This record gives sequence, C-alpha cells and structure tokens, in this order.
Amino acid sequence: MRLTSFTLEKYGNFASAKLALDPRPGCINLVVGPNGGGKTVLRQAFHDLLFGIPGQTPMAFLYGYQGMHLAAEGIDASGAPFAFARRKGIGNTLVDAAGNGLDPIVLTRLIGEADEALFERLFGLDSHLLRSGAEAIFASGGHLAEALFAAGSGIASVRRLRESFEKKRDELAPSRQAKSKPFYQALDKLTGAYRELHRATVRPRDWQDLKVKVEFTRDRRASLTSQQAQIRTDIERLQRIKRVRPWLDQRQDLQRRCEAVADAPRLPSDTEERWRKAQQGVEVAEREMTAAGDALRTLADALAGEQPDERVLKQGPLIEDIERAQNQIASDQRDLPRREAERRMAATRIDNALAALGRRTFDEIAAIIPNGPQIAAGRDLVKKHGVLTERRERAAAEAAKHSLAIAAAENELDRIGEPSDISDLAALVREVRAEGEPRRRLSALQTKLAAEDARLAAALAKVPLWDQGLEALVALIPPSREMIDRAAATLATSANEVNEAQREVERLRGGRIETVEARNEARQGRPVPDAAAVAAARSHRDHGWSLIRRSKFEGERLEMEIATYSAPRGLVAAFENAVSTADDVADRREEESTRLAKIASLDGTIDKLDARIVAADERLAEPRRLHEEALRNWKGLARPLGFDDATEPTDLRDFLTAREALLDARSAREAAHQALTLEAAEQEAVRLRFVRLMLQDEPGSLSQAVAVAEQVIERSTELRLERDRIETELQTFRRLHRQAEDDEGAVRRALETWQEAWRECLTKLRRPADDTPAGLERAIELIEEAHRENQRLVDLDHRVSGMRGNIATFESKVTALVSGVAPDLDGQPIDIAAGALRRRLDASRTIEARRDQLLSQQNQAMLRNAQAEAKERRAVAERESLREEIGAGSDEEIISRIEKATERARAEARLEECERELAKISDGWAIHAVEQEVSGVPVETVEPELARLQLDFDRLTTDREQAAVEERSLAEELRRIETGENALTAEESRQSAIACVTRISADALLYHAAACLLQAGLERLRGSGDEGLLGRIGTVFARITGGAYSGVLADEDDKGIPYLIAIEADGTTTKRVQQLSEGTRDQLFLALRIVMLEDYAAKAPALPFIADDLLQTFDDYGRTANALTALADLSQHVQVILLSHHRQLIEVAGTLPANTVHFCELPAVDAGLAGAMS
Amino acid sequence: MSEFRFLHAADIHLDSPMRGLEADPDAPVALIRDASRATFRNLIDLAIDERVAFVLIAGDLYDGDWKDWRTGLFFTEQAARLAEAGIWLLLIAGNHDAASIITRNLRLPQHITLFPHEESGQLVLEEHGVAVYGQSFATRAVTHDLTRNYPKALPGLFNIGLLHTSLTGRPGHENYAPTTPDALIAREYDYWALGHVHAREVVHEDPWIVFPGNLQGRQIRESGPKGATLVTVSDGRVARVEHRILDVFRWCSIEVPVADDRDLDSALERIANALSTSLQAADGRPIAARITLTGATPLHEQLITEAERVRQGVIAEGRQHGIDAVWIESVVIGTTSAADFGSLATRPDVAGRLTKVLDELAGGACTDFLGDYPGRLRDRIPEGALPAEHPLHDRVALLTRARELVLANLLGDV
Repeated sequence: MRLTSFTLEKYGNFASAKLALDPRPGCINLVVGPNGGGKTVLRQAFHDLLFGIPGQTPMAFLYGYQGMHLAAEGIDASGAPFAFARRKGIGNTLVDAAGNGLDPIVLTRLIGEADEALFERLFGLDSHLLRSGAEAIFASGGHLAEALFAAGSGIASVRRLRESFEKKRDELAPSRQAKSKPFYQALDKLTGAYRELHRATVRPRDWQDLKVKVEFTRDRRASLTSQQAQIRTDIERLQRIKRVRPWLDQRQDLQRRCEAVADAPRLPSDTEERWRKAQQGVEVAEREMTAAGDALRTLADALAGEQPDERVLKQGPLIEDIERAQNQIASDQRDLPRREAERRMAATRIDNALAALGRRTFDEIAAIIPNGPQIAAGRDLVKKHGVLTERRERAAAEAAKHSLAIAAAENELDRIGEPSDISDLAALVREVRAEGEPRRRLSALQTKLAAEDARLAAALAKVPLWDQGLEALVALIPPSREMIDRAAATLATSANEVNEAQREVERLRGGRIETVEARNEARQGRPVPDAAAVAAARSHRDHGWSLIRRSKFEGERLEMEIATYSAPRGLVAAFENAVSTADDVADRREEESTRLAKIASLDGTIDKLDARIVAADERLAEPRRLHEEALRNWKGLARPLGFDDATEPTDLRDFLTAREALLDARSAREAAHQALTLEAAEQEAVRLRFVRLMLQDEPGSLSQAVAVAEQVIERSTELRLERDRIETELQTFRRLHRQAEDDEGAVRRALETWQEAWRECLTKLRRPADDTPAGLERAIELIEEAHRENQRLVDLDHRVSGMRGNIATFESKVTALVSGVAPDLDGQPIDIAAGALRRRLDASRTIEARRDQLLSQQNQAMLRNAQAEAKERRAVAERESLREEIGAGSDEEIISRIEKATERARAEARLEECERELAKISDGWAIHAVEQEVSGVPVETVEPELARLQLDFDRLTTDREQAAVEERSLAEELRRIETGENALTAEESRQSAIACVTRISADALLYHAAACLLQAGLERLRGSGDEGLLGRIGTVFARITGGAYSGVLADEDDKGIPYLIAIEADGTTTKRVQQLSEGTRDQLFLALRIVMLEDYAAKAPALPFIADDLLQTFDDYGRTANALTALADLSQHVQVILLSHHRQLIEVAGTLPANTVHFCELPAVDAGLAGAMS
Repeated sequence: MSEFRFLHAADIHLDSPMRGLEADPDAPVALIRDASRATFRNLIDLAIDERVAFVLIAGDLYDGDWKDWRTGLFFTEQAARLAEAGIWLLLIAGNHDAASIITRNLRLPQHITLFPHEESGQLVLEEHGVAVYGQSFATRAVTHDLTRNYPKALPGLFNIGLLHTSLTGRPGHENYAPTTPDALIAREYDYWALGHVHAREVVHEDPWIVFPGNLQGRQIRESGPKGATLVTVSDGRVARVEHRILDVFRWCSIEVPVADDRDLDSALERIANALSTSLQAADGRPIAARITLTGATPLHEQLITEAERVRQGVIAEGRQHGIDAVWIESVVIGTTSAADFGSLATRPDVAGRLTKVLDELAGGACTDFLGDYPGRLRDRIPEGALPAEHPLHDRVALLTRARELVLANLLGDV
C-alpha cells in the first residue's frame, strides 16, 4: 500500500492536520518538523491507523478522546485507490471516509498478514534501532545468518539469546564435569545415597547371626557373675574380720579411760568459747562509747564557724530574675537606635509613593487594597489587551499568506488539466498480471515440454532388454505381473525342492561313508588272548599269593619254590607282576567282546543307510519332473517378448516397471504439449484486446502490450495523483484563509468589549480616563508599595516603644534591691551592681549548704553515742549470767572447771565414736557376734587367704566385664538394627537425589536443545535463502557508501560458518565487520534492512517504511545523500516516509534528481505543547 | 443373626519410598519417610477397633528389591498386635513379594497364614464359617491364570478367594496372573479379594470382586485417597462394603487453567486457591502436588521463559499453607501460546520463515544438530534412575518444548 494523504484530527498535539504524500515509486516522502514538533506523534498515528487506537492513549492529552480520528487515502499494489479511517472507540473502529463501518478484510487486503510487531520491527527504523542492529552484527563478528535475521526481524538479540541458553545449560549441567554445578552435586548425592543404602541395609542373615551372638554372650556373663558372687561373700567375711579387729581393741582401752574421769562436771561443749566471747563483748562496747563522744564534740565546733547573709538569701529569686533579664535589656539597648532609623526611612518611602500617585495622605489610597478585586481586574485588563493585540496582528498575516497560496494552487491546476480515463485498460492489465507474466508463462510451458521430452527419452533408455523403439514397446501386450510372479514362484519352489532332495541323498551317502570307515577302524586291533591264557595267568597269580601266605603267615620254608617263582626280582615284585598280567589279560578279553558288538552294530547301520539312499533316489525323480515343467512354463512367458530362455524373473519385472514409467512419461509429455498450444492461443486473443483499447502501434507480443499499457496507466495515474494532491492543498489553504479571517473579526469584537471594562476600571482606581495600560500597571505597583511600607511603619513603632519600656523597668528593680540588701553598692552602674548582687547570693547559698550538712552529721553522731552506751550495758549483763551458769566466782575458777569438763566429755565421745564405727564396719552384725567371728579366725591366716580370693575375684571381674562389654555392644548393635531408619533415610535421600537429577538434567537438556535448535534454524534459514541475496546486499551497500565499498561477500570461519566481509572500492581489499568504522556498520545494517524490505515486498503486500530521524548518525553531506538515494531505490518497492527534524536534509534532498523527494512540513506546535509531548 | 467383619488390603509395599520429591528442608521428612509404616499401623488399628475376624492382604506386602530386614521386623511387630487381639492375618505373595528376600527369611508368628506358591491353599475358619483360598506367586512374573487351581466353593461356608492379578489388564500394571471376571464368578465364591492394581475398583457385586487399591500413594500417578476395604458379612452374605481411608500423606495432580489470567500474580493466586482446595480435600494430611498449568494464555511465553521463577513462586504459595502442609512435586507448563504461531509460519518475513524452519526441525526425525551433549548427560546418570517420561527418552517432546522456549523468547510478541 502507498499513501497519498494522511489526516489527523484531535490527535496528539494536532487539532487537525493533513499530510499530502507522494505514492510514486522512486520518491521519498520527507516530513520535516522541529524537535518535539510531532514526529513521534505522527509515527504513533501511522501505527494506530493500521492497528487501532488503544483504549488508553497518551495522544488524548490535549483534545481528549472526543473527535479523535485518523484517515488515510492511497493506492494499493495494483494502483487502485483506497480510503479508510480509524475512529477512537471499541469494537471495529475501521471506517470509510463517510464514517461508516468497514469490514476489516479491506485492511487485510492492503497489508496482508502484517501485524503490529512486524510494522514496528521491519517497517519502522530509527537511529537507535539502526545502531543496535549494527552493534548486533559487530557482536556476532559478521555472522551471516544472525545478521540477516537481525536485519529482517528487527530482533538484534538472537546471539545473546543463544548464549543465554548455553549459559543456563552450563550453570546447571556443563558438559565437562564441575563439582560446583547443581547437576554434579545432585549426582554426588545420588552416588552417596546408593553407597549409604548399601551400607545401611540389614540382611536377614546378618540379623540372625547377631541375635545368636547376643544370647550366647548373655549366658556367659550370667555364669561369671554367679561364680564371682560366691567369692565376693568369702572376701567380705575376711575383710570384715580384718577391719573390726583393731576397733575392738581400741574399745576396750576407751572403756577404761572413761571410768578414770567419772567425777568431772558436765558442761556444754561450747562453754569455753562462750566465756571468751562474753569478755571480748564488754571490751568492744566500752571502746565504741568513747569514740562516739569524741565525734560529737568535733561537729559542734565546726557548726559554730558557718554563718550566711540572710538578707541576700531572702531576696534570692528577685536577684535571679534580674540576672535572666540582663541579656534581653542589653540587646534592647543595642538595637534601639537601628529600629528608630528604619522607622524614619519607611515614612519617607510612603511620602514618595503618595507624591508619585498625586496624593497627599495615605488615607486617600487606604481603601484600595493590594490583591483586592479592583487591582486584579486592572491587571487582567492590561494582560488581555496584550494578547488581543498580538492575535489580531497574527490573523492578518495568516490571511495574507493563504491568499497567495490559493492563487498559486489554482494556477497549477489550470496548468495540469484533466487526465484521460484508463479504468478499462487498468482492469485488463490487472487481469493479465493476476495470471503471471505472459512471456514467463509461455516460457515455463516450453521448458516443461522440453523437460517432458527428455524424461520420455530417459524412460525409454531405462527399459531393460529392449531395442525395438518406442512405438513397438507401447504396442506390446506383455503378460500380467501376477502371471510372472506365479510362474517365477513355481520355478523357484520346484528348484528348491530338487535341491532339497538332492542334498538329502548326498547327506545319506556321506553318512554311509563315515559309518564304513568307523567299522573298518573297529576291525583293526591287537590279538586277543584265549580263555586258556586267562586261566594260566590267574593260576600264576594265585600261586604267588600261596607262596606269600605259606611263607609269611604259616612259617613254611619254601626257598626253592620261591626262587623258582620269583628269580631274580623277589617274591613280592613277582607277585605284583603276576597280578598285573592276570588283570591285563582279562581286560583285553573284555575289550574284544565290546569291539565285536560295535562292529556288528555298524554293519546294521550301513544296511539301513543303503536302504534309505535307494528310497531318497526314488523321491528325487518327482521334484525333477516338476522343475522341468515349471521351466517350460517360464520360457513360454519370456519368448513372446523376444527374450531368451535365460531371462530371470527380476529382469522381466524390471522390464514391466520401466515400461509403465515410460507410458507415464509419454502421457505427461502429451499434456505439456497441449498446455503450451492453448496458452499461446489465449495470449494472442488478449493481445488483440490491448490493441483495441490503446489504438497505438500494434505490439508484437502480449508482454510488450502489457508493458506499453502499464506506461500509459502510470502516466495517467501520476497526473491524477498530482491533481489530487494540489486540490487537497487548495482546500486546505482555503480553509486556513477562512479561519484567519474569522479569527481577525473575533479579535476586533473582543477589543470593543475590553474598552468598556477598561473605562470602569480606571474610575474605580481613581485614575484619569486617558490612562494607558502601561500607566495603570505602574500606578498599581505604587499603590502596593505604599501599602507595604505603611504596614512596616506600624510594626516599627510598636517595637521601639516596647524596648524603651523594658530598659526602664529593669533599672528600677536593681536600684530597689541595692538599697534593701546592699547599700554599700549604692551609686554603682546598674549592670555592675546587678553582677555584685548575684555573686553575693551564690556565696551565701554555699555557706548555707555546708551548715545543713554539719547539722545532719551532728544528729547521726548523737544517735551512735546512745547506741554505744546501751551496747556496753548488755555485754556486762551477758558475762555475769554465764558466770553463774558455770558455777564459779572468780575468772580463774571458771577456767579450771571448764578444763575438767572438757576432758570427761572427750573420753566419752571417743568411746561412743568407736562403737559407732564398729557398727558401721561390721555389716550390720552385733558387736558381740563380731567378737565371736573374730575369735574364730587366727590373725596370721587372714591375709594369705584374702590374697588368694582376690586374685580369683579379679580374674572373674575381667572376664565378666569383657563379657558385659561384648554383650552391650552386640545388644546395642541389635537394637540399632531393629529400630534404626538408616536404610529408609538413605533411600529417601536416593529418591530426592533422583528427583533432583531428573529435574536439573531435563532443564539443562531443554536449554541445550533450545540453543541447538536456534542455531540450526538460523543456519537452515540462511541456507534456504535467495542465492542472489548477497549480491543485492552488496549493491545497496555500495550505493549507500557512495562506492567506498563495492559490495559484500561471505567467507567461512574455521567451523565452516559463513560471515560477512566488505569489499573495498578496489574490488580486492576486504574487511571484516570488526574492521569497519561504526558509521560504516550502520550503513551495512541499513543495506541489509533495505534488501530484507525488498524481499518482503516481493512476496506479500508491503506497508510504508517509516524512518524516524534515521540519518542523524550520517554525519556528513555525502553519506546522507547516498543514503537518500538508496532509500529512493527502496521506494520502488515500498513507500518510504522519512521523518526528521534536520532541516538541512531539505538542502541535501535538493541535490538529488528532480521528483526524488517529496517535501512535507509538519504544522508548528506551541512550545508548551511541544514540551508536554516530548 | 451371625455377623462378622473382615478387612481387605493389598499392595502395601512396606518401606517403599516416595518418588519424585526433591529434598526440602521445610518438608515433613519424617512423616513422608514413615508413611508406609504409619498407614500399616492405621490398618492394624482399624482391624482392632472394628474387631474384625481376620485381615486379608492380597499380595505385595513388601517391595521385591527392598532388602532391609527391619521391614520384616516391623511387620512381625504389627502382626503380633493382631495376634494379641485374636485376629487372623491371611496373605499371599504377589509379584513383588515373590522376589523379596524378606519373604523368604521371615518366620511368621501364629495367627498368620501365608498361602503356598506350589498350589492353591485353603484355610477354614470354623468359628466364622469362612473358607479362604489363595495361591502366592512363585516368581516375579506369573503369566498364567492361577484361578484354574482354585477349588470349588465349599457349600455352607462363606468362600473368599485371595488373588494377586491384573485381571484383563490394567494400564500401568504388568499383566500378571491374568484372568477374567467371568472366570472368577464361575468359582462361585462370595468375595474375591484382589490385589496388584493400585487404584481402588469394585469390579463386580454379588459376588463381590474388589481391588482395594494400595494403602498409601507413593508417586504422583497414585494420587487421591488410599485405604482398605471393610466388609461386613451377615448370615453368610455380604451386607456392606466400605472403603476406609488410611493414608497419611496425599498425592494430588492439580490442573490449573490460567487462560483468563493476565499476569503471573493472578495465576499464582489461582494456583494458591487450587492448592487450598486440595489441602482441604486431604482432611489435614500433608499433600505432594504436581501443578499442571493449562489453557491458551498470553502468559504462556512468560511461563516458559521464567519457568524456574514460576516454580519457586508455586513453592512459595504452597509454603503459605504451613511448612509441613504442601510439597510441590513439580510444576508442568502445559499452557499454549495465545499468539498465533501457526499463521506466523506462513508469513514471508524472516521471523515467519524462522518459525517455519523451527517447526520442521522440531518435527523432523534427524536430531544430529543436538550434538553429543544428550549422550554425555545420559552416560553420567545411573541406568534406570530416570523416569520414562524424561526428555532424554523422548526427543520429540524435548524439541517441541525447545521450540516453544525459543519462540517465546525470540518472537513472543511477534
């Protein structure tokens, strides 16, 4: 599709705008507007026109949704005009010029399967996307498949995508083993779990063996324990005897000592300690009483020296107030002169303002309030006057400009005139083109006929065993395939049966030969001893035994007989030889009988084989007869075809197949011939129709007729389009002229209304009737200044009077205090007197604090003195009470009584302790029973017996402990086995590891497959591409670079992957993409994109190519001109619309051939709006 | 009126592990590990609580390749509880038991009868008027009809046949000891207690032919509630057949349609709701769920390209039900693209042609372009560890998914 006009209504910053576009092939539409002037809006508008305006669109920022409308007119691929529009709304928003709903199929016919993404990626390009694409080619090292894909899809990230797949795969499970990767970690876990499962599994036999061991060990330990218990009892008895014997002796001794001190007093055991503590208590109390009296006296002396000034203390709060106010008063005294000066200046400024306004007092303007309604109205009127004046001037200029444009357009229309009607001719061209290029159609049919001729000749050549020509072969009536198969099968079967019968005969004959050989071999052998020889050998053996028995066991003397029998070897050796000989003779007799039986058996076998051979020979005759019959039948099939008797079934089948192929080829050739004849006749009829419509020289062929017709149509269409464009412009200029005139009238009426309001305003502000807007603006400023200064004057008055009052009050307070509490300061400056008062107050407060502390200490000392006296009285009373309890008068008597009582108590205590120990160590036995047991055992026997028993006991202990350890270990093992979950845990780990391996390997495999699939896809895409693609890319690249490069080539890297290289102007020097400058890479990418667009346009309905500031990276004049030339070439295939804010492009475009660039300028946009849009 | 009850269970596979669950520190590991034992304890508890006369186990008490003796000890410990309660336990060996080292070595306590494998055995419980017939598998693969050896029903008794069989064949199960319902009916027994098929199925009523299913699901193919069949016999006739749920852990295969969802958060919310529903249906049991997202959705490309993020999101949704409640077995992206890749492949631009080429490659027989990576991967993984549906075993599925991944990344919005 190609657009001739594009209209935007209430869209973005456009209230109403119409772009007139040139649809001619070879012409670029250059749309220039300032930055922020609406290019982005225009680009979005193209998108919305084709694919609908979104429900929420930023393009409503100025005019809202109401009335938003986009409309386009143009021509389709066949040159037929179309018009459609897009309204804002829901559902089908496609409408015709009158606003009626249109079937979306109308648009589908124009743009085919293209969707939004295709429009954005293939048919849209800006400098940013151009640079991204160029960088993608650079990143891939010029990889051909990736470059083509990036240029043709607008997706620059294909390499990154493949690398990301590979990266993800390698992060999970790289091909090379890496312990840190999840797959290998999971495999390690799996291996560990297998190992752990094997280790932790308890087999039944293991458990049963362990259980037997546990029971055995338990029994053994029980036996050892029993033995040890018995020995322990004996040891304990002897140890008890050994233990109690010394204690029994000691008990007798202590009983005697107690009897010796029986007359001493009984006193409590702590009596001595209590007496000593009572004496010490009295001494301590007396010392404390003396110290308390001394402290009391010292404090009374200190108190007498501390006396503060009570008058000063009494006035303390007042003195503190004065000190606090002192800083404020000093500040007031400092600021007062400055504030008075400011007050005078404010009064002066008020006077000046009043004088400028022509007033004498402030009261005259007091009623006119700043920011009040009178002032605001005045300001509005001043501002409105400026706007109206400027608008009136602009409307007048616009009206003049559009008048000139209208006149120019009308002149142009008159010059062009009306084009002739070409609808019938165009319809005929479309009809012809719909069926393809006539010459190509005819040529294709001729080529097909030639191909079919060749195919027929080849088919004839492939027929085996045939040399009688095509027609004879066609006329031939061959046997059916079923007959051939049946005869061949019968022949093969009979041959097999003959072979089978023959093999059976040969097998039997072979068997007979082997059996005869075996029988002959059996007949050969050593001579066989007869029965007498056997009897003689046995008799000789028995005689030897008789000699041995009689000489050795019966004592007979048989030297002569023995010598006869055994000389010279000895009797035993001779006997052994006789035994061996007798056995050998008997064995040979036995072997012979076996051999004879075998020979008889083999003779029988030979007879049977002879009979079977005869029978087999007889059975062979029938298959041979059948085979001969089958052979005759086969020859009957082959000979009528002219083939000899040796013809194989395969040959005959191949012949039939080849003949059928030949018949097919012959039919196809006939069809191709008929099609060619028919096409030639139809083309001639159509050519005559062209001759009638064009009334020109008769063209030689239909192709020539179509070409001439297309030139006529093209010329007429161009004329029509030009007229349409100018008429559209004329309408626009007329509408704009009307709008300018309307605007001028409106401004005039607004100024009249303004005059009435102006007069009223001057009256309210008490201004002269002839005052100008500038004069009023100045008066308002003066009135506002007078109000501001008057407010300031009131404020300063208040501040000055406040300062003065503060200073006076302060001075009177200080004077009064001095006379009351410090007359000696009378006459001193106020601030010095105030400072002295403060210092005197601090000194008095310090003395007062020290005196309070001493009084508190005196009270505490008096309390301690009373406590010491009471304590001394209690200590004396306690000592005298104890003296009475002991029962003695003097201190020396008391000490003597205590010592005797202590001696008695000690003797009784030791006896008691001895008996307690005896009770403790005699295992619960009574003392008299123990005495009896001890008396029964002599002292000297105890130790040896104990040693013996202890040795036995220790040995048993060791054995029992070992048994116990073993039992515990085995029992623990058994318990662990029975209750453990090790195997379950290991199995669970195994399963979780399997799940993990499964997931990770599946994910890694997926990423790997995706990477490989993408790579293989791109390679196949490249491989299936147009052979001439590189050449076309090279041509466009040379065009864009202005011949700096003559083309591109594809070379292969080490892996056989093709990559792009650029050929310099000399035609021999090449550069890889990495060696190209950034700008040249941009040019290369543009070349690729242009070729991809051409490629698309050749296969499907194409959209306009929208390039947005595409050439801003083409930084010199020549490059830009070259790029424009290449885009002009592209416009032969698709319409090119180039948006730019670079006005110098117009200058560059001017250097191109006439009519190569159609220039459009976007309407100017308000600066504020432009900011909002950007 | 004389009445007794018995319990019919099968395919217990004691100590058989849960399959397909990845390690998760927050998962109820102990519960999952102990699940088959816990359900067996539940079976014994139920038998004692219901005071049944006997318990029937129709084969596959153990797993054939499981050798740990503790499993046998656990079984005898639980069987002893039945014996103490005076309840008989009658069982046959199935294809797994036959090969089990535990079966061969375990000495069974009193009140337990394992029917022989050489010929069919018979046990008459006089006090209940019941005759039970059964024959164990001698080897793992028994491919003939064992019921030919089963005797005719004894008149005047309630006759029960205990049999491990696939009947006429059931998907996902080896075709062992095949027979037909008609052949079973012809024996004139009152109840056929079958095992081997892990899904519960009442094949026939009067006479009753019942597969109780296994006690505890062990993988995603064994989803839904699992348990045993409690049968009440009154006056020599089956009066009631009830399915009692005994499992402690539930497998759920959840399909979540996301066609209407416009963003991932919305889809995740839908998944959370589906999980919540399944969790409620599991009556407080933890669940292991396979989430399969379905439907033609604009989210398809995002789901494909951010599969791991989606998986983590689903796991997080599951975790919101409590760390011991939900375990995500896997997340299957079964959605299709809302974009029309079919018409894209007919478009003449590069993107359209690439789509067509990818279709051809993915659907073609040649996979040489994958190189030796798949082989290397397979060589590193122990044989038999991967499930049958793994992409290493199914190149067609692998390439189909790879194609979707490529298109989703490259042309998602073309």
